[in-house]
Amino acid sequence: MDLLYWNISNFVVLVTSLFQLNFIVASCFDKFPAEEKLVLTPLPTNYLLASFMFELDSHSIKKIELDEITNDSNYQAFPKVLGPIFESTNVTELHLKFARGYWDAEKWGKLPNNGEFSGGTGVELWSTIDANSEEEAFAQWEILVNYLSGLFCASMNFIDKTTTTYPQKLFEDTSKYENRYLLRSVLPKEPVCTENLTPFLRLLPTKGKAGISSLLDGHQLFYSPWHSMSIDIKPKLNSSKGELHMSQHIDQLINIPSTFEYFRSPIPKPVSGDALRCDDNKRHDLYYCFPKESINNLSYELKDLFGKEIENRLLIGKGKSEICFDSTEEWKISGVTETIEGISINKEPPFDINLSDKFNVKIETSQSGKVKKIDYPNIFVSRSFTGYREDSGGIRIVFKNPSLERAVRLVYFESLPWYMRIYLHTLELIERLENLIIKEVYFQPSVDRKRPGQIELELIIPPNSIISMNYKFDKSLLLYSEYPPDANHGFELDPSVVKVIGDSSRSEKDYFFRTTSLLLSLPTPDFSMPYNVIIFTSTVMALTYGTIFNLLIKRLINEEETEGNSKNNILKRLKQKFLVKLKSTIQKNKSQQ
Amino acid sequence: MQNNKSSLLKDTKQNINIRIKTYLSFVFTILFIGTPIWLLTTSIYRAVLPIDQISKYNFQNLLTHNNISINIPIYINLPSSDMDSLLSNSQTIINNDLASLIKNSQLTNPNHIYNHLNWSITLKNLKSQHPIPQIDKKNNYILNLKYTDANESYFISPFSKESTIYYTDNIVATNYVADFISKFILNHLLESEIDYYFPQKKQDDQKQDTIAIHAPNYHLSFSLLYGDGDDLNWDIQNAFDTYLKPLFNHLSSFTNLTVNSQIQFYSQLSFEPTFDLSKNAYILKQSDIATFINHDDWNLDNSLISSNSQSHTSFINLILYIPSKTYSPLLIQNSTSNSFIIPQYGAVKILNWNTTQNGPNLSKLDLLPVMEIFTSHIITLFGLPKLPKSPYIRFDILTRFLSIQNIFKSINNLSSLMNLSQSLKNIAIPDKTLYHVQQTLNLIDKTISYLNNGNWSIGCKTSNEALVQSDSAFFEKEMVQQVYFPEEHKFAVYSPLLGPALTILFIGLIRVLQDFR
Repeated sequence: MDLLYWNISNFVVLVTSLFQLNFIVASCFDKFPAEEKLVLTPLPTNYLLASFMFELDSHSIKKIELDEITNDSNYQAFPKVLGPIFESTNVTELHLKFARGYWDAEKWGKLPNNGEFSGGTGVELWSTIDANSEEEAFAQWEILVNYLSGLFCASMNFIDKTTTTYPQKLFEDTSKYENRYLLRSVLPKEPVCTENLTPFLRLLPTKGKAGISSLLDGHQLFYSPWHSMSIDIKPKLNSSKGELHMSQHIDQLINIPSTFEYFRSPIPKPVSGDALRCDDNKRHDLYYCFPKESINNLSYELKDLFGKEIENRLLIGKGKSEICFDSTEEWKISGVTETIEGISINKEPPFDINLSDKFNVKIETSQSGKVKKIDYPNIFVSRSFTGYREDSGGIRIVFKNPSLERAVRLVYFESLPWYMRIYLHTLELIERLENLIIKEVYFQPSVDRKRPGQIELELIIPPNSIISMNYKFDKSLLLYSEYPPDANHGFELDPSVVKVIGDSSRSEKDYFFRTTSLLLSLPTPDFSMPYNVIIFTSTVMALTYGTIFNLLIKRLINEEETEGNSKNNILKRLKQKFLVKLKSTIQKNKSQQ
Repeated sequence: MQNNKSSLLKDTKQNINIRIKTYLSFVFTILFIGTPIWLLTTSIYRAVLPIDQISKYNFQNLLTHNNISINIPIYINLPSSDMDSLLSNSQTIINNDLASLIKNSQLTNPNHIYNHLNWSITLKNLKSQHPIPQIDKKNNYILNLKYTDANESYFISPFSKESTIYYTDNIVATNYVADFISKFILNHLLESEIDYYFPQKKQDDQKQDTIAIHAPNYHLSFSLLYGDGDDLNWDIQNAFDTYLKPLFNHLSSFTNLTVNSQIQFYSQLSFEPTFDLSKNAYILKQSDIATFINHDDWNLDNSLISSNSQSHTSFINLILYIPSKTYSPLLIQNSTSNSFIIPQYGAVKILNWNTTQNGPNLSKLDLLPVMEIFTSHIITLFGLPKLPKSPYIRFDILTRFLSIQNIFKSINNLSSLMNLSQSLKNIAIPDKTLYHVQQTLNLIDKTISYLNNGNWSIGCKTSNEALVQSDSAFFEKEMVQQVYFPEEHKFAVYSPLLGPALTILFIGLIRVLQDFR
């Protein structure tokens, strides 16, 4: 180590001895502000909702200046890979959601956490950015999407001006801040898969190797009928030092029997005859079998649901690591703790897995249909296309308020691609109660290739009513190069977002949910067309050219003038000879007969 | 009848003339109106690069024509004013010795690129300078001559660029003072620099490979990787401020630096180390070192967002690895410091820290040995010379070397660009490229003038900018995305038009020629 003695020996040793007194004070570190929780909620017809929550606080993150040596960014629990976003851009909030599948609200009720963390089909990103102008905000947004695209292996780099909207009423109100912009974009076509889960887990301080996150597995998660992953980074409440709060959520809907089956044999095989469960009250023999109503007796462990066990306990952090169970008394839950002393059974959820060495949860019930009372949303919204033409169409949105006495106030947000040219004057409500129902309209018409259309409506849906809203649009032709590969598949439209405004007098929270995405088919050309056109036009041009050229160059001679000339023509003489020969051979043949 | 026939075969002279003129007008239209329009509408924009100027900036030309000349002034503090002749004597000896060193280098390494550099040392009398000795010791080389009774010796100050030679009667008597000065300067003070430009031995590329690729910006990332998940923390901020700040202040004289740190838990090894009973420890074999870093799992990716900085930033990863309790203690085979360098990437130090015995906090003092090792590795990765002891002189040597290296790289970029544009005739050359090329040439000129005037630190920063500019010229986005349109496709599209049109024209030509005869 002789090469460093100029540094260490000359500068350091003196200084350290001076600082030794301070050292005791300096060594009082914070523990990590991380927490995690898994909530299991049984749902009717043997479904189960598993909600994973990971909460994390960062230390202060400061802007990096390239001109000076800065070492202010000491990352501990907060992932360093997300740091550059907050160090080098003016992004203040970041919300990223990946989701796939269908959540049937009429069957399962409200989305978990009031829908705050559940996305619509595909990838959804929204963020608030501090900037002096919209252009500047967009430039930062572009940097952000490109960065996230690489980080999460998603095609977020395809987010551009044509897909980015600026919601006014939907999320938080940015007008109270000066120079703050809220940008949002959705990629409804994006397939969410393991490639997105791996970087998601790597952001956790445990990297999916300990605590409840060790249960997560790509195969199991993406096998489920509905799943949503989200990352939400916000400035920490009541903090001015640039500290951030990050929460990561994974919600998945598990079909219990089908999951058992999946782990039993990952490749589905037909069930053998004697293993079929037939309804005894109806006719059943070798050929007939009416399925029995769903199984009521259930008994399983965490391992049966997730295919994995909790591997290590969570040691990092001062926060808790909990497993909770949300259901009725018909369900018997027991936490099995394995320590060196032996196995002990703890009956009361929530279970704190921080305390035990090895932990498992056993779930048993004889009446799986008896679950907690389902909390249905106040409103159901569905959206569909109307019309059958290639050049125009319409959209119908149906709002259903089943409540007998309560009206529902909501914000309906929809962003439409520019190639859907909508006519706002065709917007109509079937009941003709526009004035009573529509409170506010924010509409931004689309600009071709520059900006998507944006509709934001504040509505009040009266009690016990079904209201349908229609509007019409034209489909436009795209340029040849603008069609994506497999254009005949159609173009996905972003799921529209509904925010049900909570009644503040009842201290209700806002409830968010998204409709399904729609598949719009545009008039699609035959893609060999340009070549055909070029070749066809060329041929026509060549023909015209040839005719004109011949007209100008060729000599015109009358028919009489040519007659005398024709005797000398070699072709004519040959033809004559041939005809004479032909005639003579025919006559010969005839005479022979 | 006979008359009629001949009139049929032969048109009137007037008509033939008209026909020929019509035909020629067609040819004229196609050649002088159609073809230019076609060329104009299908051409690719190519800015005219200053090819003459670029080829004038051939690196070897710059060296051999003495455009770049590095002249290091050394101020000699003579003990008495009657020793002026000593100065000129030493100067001659230095010049001769240096010439022989250069000659030897050119013979042993004929392909070494810096062989022909005009590099010289000028000795100046400190006391004859006007204004007299207001010379900053940290910016100028000062050599004190002092008389001593004891043995002759020398001393290089670690706090400045000052050095002292102690001479004795013995040397004075044998008239070796001038020789002594020359030996000291060439063999001790600036030996490393001479070795950069004029290597005396056959060059091996091994050393160069270790050094991180020089870039205008450096980003250093300190990572604490822990194999387990129990509480662990380090006082990196304090340790950095105390132990590494002085080094970084020096480094920032020629480059921009950013630093950050992180802690990662559950960073498990991708292989199982073997247990050695004799050492009672797990052993990391030399062969395991190559696969030590678990890139899939360890979150070591570095990224910066700031505009354009990614491509001009060199990342150095300094990793403190604390193995999990199952694989503790972990030792690297044949390594006393328990650390290793990963060429051009960073360095790893393995620390066996037991959190149950030593507690969860790595204090500043616990980090001192780690920081010492990191310092040594940073110095290697930055390519700093190992001698002399004074950091001021070492950084000075590196600054000069980097400036020249940057000029070489920039010129290399430009000539590659020139070759590219000449060999690919249908590559677009946007105006931006031209702008960057001109900027590079200007900056190279500036760097050279700074170097010739001895402003090495500014010269180095300017040369960094030149390198950035030449990179942007070469990696211009519009240029890289070359229009790919194969010749067959062109033929397929044009043939329906050109085929019939040319056939008609050709037959027309035959007819006209017949008429003409």
